[in-house]
Amino acid sequence: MGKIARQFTLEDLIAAHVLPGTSVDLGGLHFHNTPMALVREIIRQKIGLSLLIPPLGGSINADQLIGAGLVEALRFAYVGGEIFGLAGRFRAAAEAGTICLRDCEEAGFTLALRAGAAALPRGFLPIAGDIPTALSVNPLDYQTIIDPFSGAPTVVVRAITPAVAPICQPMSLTLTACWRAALTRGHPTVVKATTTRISTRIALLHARLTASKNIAWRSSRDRHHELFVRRIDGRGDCPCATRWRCGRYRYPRDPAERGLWFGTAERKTTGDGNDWCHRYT
Amino acid sequence: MIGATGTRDPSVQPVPNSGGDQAFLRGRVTRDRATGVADQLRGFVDVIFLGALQLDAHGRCNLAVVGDYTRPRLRGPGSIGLSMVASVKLTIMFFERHDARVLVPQVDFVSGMTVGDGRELLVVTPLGVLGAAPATDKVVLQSLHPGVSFADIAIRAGFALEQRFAVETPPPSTVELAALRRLADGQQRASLVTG
Repeated sequence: MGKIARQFTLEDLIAAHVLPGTSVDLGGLHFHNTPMALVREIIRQKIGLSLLIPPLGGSINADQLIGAGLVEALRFAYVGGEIFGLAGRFRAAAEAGTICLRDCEEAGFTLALRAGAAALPRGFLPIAGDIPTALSVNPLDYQTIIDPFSGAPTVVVRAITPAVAPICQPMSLTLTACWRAALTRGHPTVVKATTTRISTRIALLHARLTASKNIAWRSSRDRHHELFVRRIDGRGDCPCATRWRCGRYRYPRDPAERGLWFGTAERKTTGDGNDWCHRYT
Repeated sequence: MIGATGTRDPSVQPVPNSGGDQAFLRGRVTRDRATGVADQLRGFVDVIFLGALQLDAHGRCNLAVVGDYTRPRLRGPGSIGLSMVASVKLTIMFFERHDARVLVPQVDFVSGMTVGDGRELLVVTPLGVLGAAPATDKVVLQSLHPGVSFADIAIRAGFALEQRFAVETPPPSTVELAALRRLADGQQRASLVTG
């Protein structure tokens, strides 16, 4: 596991691997396990992205990058605040027409991830019933081809193959629940990234991975990816609970705290959420 | 039972605010999403709970945009898993309002199709319960909540509802009431609804 133990500062890490105009695929699910330290550093360095692919359940991660004006195009199945409501910056950009949206749906998005992980150009999409509108408004990612075996028209979806895949890899002490959650998103993300994998996990991750000989890491090691680790937990600049230590595995119950999570309290006072965005980046 | 986290038969107490809560990771086994999608597309899911921005008379639901796609009046979060409801036997939807803004003649964006091929639909609104008519694959009125007249519910919907299907929504049974009262976090849920 010799390729793990390289440490960079957060600033150098982003500057070296997230180049202007690149495509980025974020890990996580909703507000959990999403690499917010990396997202905020991209915003600090004002690195424009040609394509952002948020997690299947995109949230504050995509919303902040869009609000900072750094996203040219977005390929997504969902971007919202989940129980906190809609994602304000995403919604504003979409309604103003200032961002190119590539609407997907869950099956297509997920099978595109799997196709990317398998180094295939397309994934086959068995859709029953009426064809969703996403297939017609997003011809870049969806196509109808003739199945060479059956001769029947078949919908295929373009594989997701980002240049950089920032992910956060949390683990429980027993390497069970949280690690499986990371696999849900992290494993195909790791495999499909064409250049590198970036993690915000602390250095302790190295020891745990070494001890566990984790399958996800082996797959990335075989493909000569490198894992960069950076201890970020000491930064303590985010009340939004997207870091593993404060994820607490449960959304807060106090309405004020919930509002703070997604900046709703600030949005109510400032009207547009920009103060909130600046405060946490 | 499978939540957004991909965990089968999650075991959590108390019940979290969201199906995407990481508390739902505690369960029998967590599967990667692609496997879950494949299972759902193959018809292994019997019941799904979901919400939407719009529902039309033909059972098509929309979670993407209201208005023109390129310059929408309201941009929703995206279609997510609604495209896969066509492979689920029973779809249960919940709307916090019953009016022509959500119950529309035709959705602006088809995220998914909730009726057809004999599939069942239950749509719970503040005024009543809508369902699917098996013969026509159209959304029909199934029951009126106590105290609500047919005129109340019909005039507020954006498409015609037939009265012949309407009965009064039965009150919760003793068992159902007891189950509801066992939810110790009732105040938490109320605060979510009221914002």
